[in-house]
Amino acid sequence: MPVLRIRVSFLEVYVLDDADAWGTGEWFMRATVDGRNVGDPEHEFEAREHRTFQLEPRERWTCDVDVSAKGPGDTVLVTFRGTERDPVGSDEDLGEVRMLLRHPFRQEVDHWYQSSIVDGKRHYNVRIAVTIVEEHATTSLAGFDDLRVSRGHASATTFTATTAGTAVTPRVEICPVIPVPEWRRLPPRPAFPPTVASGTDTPEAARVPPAAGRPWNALPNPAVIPIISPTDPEFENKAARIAVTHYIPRNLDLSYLFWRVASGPVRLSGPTTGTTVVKAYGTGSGASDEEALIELRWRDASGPLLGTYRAWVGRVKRIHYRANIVSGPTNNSRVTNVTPDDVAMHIDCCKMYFWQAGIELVPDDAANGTWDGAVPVPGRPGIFTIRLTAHAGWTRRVNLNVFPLPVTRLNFRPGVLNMVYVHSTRQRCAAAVDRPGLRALSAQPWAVTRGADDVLARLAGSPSTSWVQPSGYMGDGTPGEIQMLLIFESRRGTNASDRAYARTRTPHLTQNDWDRLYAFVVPSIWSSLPGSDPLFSYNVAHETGHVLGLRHRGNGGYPNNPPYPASYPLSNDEVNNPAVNGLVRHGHPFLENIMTYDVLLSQDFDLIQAMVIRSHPLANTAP
Amino acid sequence: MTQKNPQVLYNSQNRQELLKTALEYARSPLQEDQDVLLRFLRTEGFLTRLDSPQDYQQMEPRHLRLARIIKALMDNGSQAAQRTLLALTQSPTFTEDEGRVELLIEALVVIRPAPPEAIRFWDQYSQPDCPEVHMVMDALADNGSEPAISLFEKKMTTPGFEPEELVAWMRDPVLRHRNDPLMLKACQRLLVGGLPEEIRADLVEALCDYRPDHWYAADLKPQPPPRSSATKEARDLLRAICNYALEHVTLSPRQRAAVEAALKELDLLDGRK
Repeated sequence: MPVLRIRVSFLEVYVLDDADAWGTGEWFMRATVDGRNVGDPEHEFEAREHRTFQLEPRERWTCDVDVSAKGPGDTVLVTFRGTERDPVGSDEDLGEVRMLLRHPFRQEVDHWYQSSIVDGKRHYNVRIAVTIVEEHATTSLAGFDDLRVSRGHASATTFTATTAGTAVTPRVEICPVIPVPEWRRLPPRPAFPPTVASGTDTPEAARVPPAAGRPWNALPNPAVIPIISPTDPEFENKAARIAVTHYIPRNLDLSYLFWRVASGPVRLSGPTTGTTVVKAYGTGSGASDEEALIELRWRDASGPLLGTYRAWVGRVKRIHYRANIVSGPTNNSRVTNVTPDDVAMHIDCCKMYFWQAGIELVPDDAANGTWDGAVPVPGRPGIFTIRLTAHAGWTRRVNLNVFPLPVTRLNFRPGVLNMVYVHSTRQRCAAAVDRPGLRALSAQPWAVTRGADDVLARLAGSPSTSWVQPSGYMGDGTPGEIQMLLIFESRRGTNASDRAYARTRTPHLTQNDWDRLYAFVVPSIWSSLPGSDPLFSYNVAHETGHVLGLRHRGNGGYPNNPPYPASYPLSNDEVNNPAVNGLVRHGHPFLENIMTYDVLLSQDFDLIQAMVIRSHPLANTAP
Repeated sequence: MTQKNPQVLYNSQNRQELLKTALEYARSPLQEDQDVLLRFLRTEGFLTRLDSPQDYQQMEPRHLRLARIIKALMDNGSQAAQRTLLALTQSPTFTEDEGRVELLIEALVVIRPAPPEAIRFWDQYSQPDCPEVHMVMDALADNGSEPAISLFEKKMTTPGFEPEELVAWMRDPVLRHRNDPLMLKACQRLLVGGLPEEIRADLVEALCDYRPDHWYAADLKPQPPPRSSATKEARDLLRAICNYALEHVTLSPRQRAAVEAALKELDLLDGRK
């Protein structure tokens, strides 16, 4: 029995958005592992939306399980249930997470799991880690001496462990989605003999918490490898980092890893052998984006193939932005939750999100003009404050379903992304309200139209975008063409209010100017999350994605307010996984894409999304 | 079980203790308990002991601890609790904060028929340029009683609102209540007169069609009730509106098709061929 003991840790709880919630909640959490109670079911947690509470002390919420006596078919049941204890009325069930760990207990996890839906609501996500504490592996693949490549037939890529004589092909994954989704949502992993050690994630598989000052390339495995000069002073922080995310067995001798460029205008920089992470940069003119394939092999260029990584190579595209913080005419209507420093931090946090698509957000200079009483914030280029003298409703409880919204035209410059921070919105969320230019994308070579309104992007090739299955990755089936539905275009400038405004601007605005007003609205009062929290940056990245043409992916678009449409939980952008690994068909990735609805995990843009947003006029036309 | 101890409301600096005690009072059907609670809800000291000024600045009003108390009053159902809510509309201290005003706007929905105090309060906060106007329009439609729908109708014809705002209300509160006979009667009157001619077709469209991708920028999209749940009275009213619209309202081809589809749906529901 190779795995002898596992450890289950309940780490933290993330309180989900609940549009119907009133007030804070007093939550109690109860956990069990293999029938044993874990944690403190009497501890009261104050639950506030979009906030996380830690399950501490850690040792109390951790449980080791001896699985040495378990055999084929045996399982370990892990449960986690929340209850809201009402001091006066009856308690409310907040839903449960159930995990069934199966023999031989070789899958380690560290993931966020969604609670079950209770009375039409999903209340929380809980982070649970399962680690292997003790394992007895009798087949060693620890070194080259213990491992040889079988060359018994053409194109053979089979490793044979000399100690046991069993044919073993190590599994090495270079997952394009970061953070890496739970293993059940990935292409099936091959079965290994029980005598082979289990696998492990690398640090690069994990979520990268947003924070100011992170390097451009903080997120590994980007969709785009940027064309940059190796003499760029920030080269180390800008070159794409291509990384192994998981490998089996965990005692694989990583010193034999060998990276090489298989195709495309890419070069590798720094060590290319004996490392799980390699740096890559694009070369050439970048007149148009090209595909590249990077290979990971065993020992050298002729060694067995362990994995491939597919990316676009292209020049860095720049999107100019203005962030306007709009305050109201009275003290109560003032934007108090977001400061210019907060906004600068949000944009800085977004740097890593957009760099993975080869896009840089660039502040628009105030010297290009200011309007509507906008005041540039000293030392914060691209950030302005606007104090309204009337129209408190342009910043407080802005109704996002009023179209066009007057507030998004304030201090806008055609061709510049207008990020509009208001006090609050009626819908208590952000929205990309001005999305012109999308119809033009239908002329792209990758585009196809459907009916009168729909524009879809198409992308074939292997491995597939986000490893949508079949992914083509190392034995997974040949991928088909992926199609992604784009969001609708919006147009404005024709109503009386916009027309009147156009005449007041110097110079007067033309329809062509209105057709280049790209804007989204962010409420400074967003749930219970303060503007100083880096998680707030998710709003900026997500809404910018909408402005650039993207719809919701995965669970996005169907927040915690069922009844869901019949199609739920398929992707709003129609990118879905088939039923695999015991899961029903669902949008993919379900939580980890920026266009999903998981503030914590939403970090990834994939190949097909990068293709679209890099084609958008905002990224290709100077303001 | 927390006890109803007014001393806690007087003195406690423990926010959770305050909340739990105040909830006891808010859940009570007894007038004397409601009187105690009201006295505290009218004092700034109690309110800031319950939620800090920073909480007011940073959080959605619905996430304040106060919101739990307001929700308990809404769910209470007793006349005493409803009197507490109505009395708060007259409290300068309570209504000094716009967040608390918002909580009240939504809380009054549960009092049906809407009493004059509620109507006055809603009217006050739904003047042109009032930031709360959209919440009030939702509250009026959600309340659905005759006085509330009457005020709703009046707002739809009040000068000072932008046509885009009126259209947004058609596609949200009107759409969500397009099976309600009182709402349909109000729409009928608005169509015949009162509503600016250029947006009458939008009202017809909101009653007959549903185009979430085109109508809503926010992700939380209002949902219309299923037509099959409309009463015979509602179906007859909608049929009359549709027939009127086909004759008297300038409709685009798409809008006309939506009206005709709605009529077919009504025919099916009414067993007509």
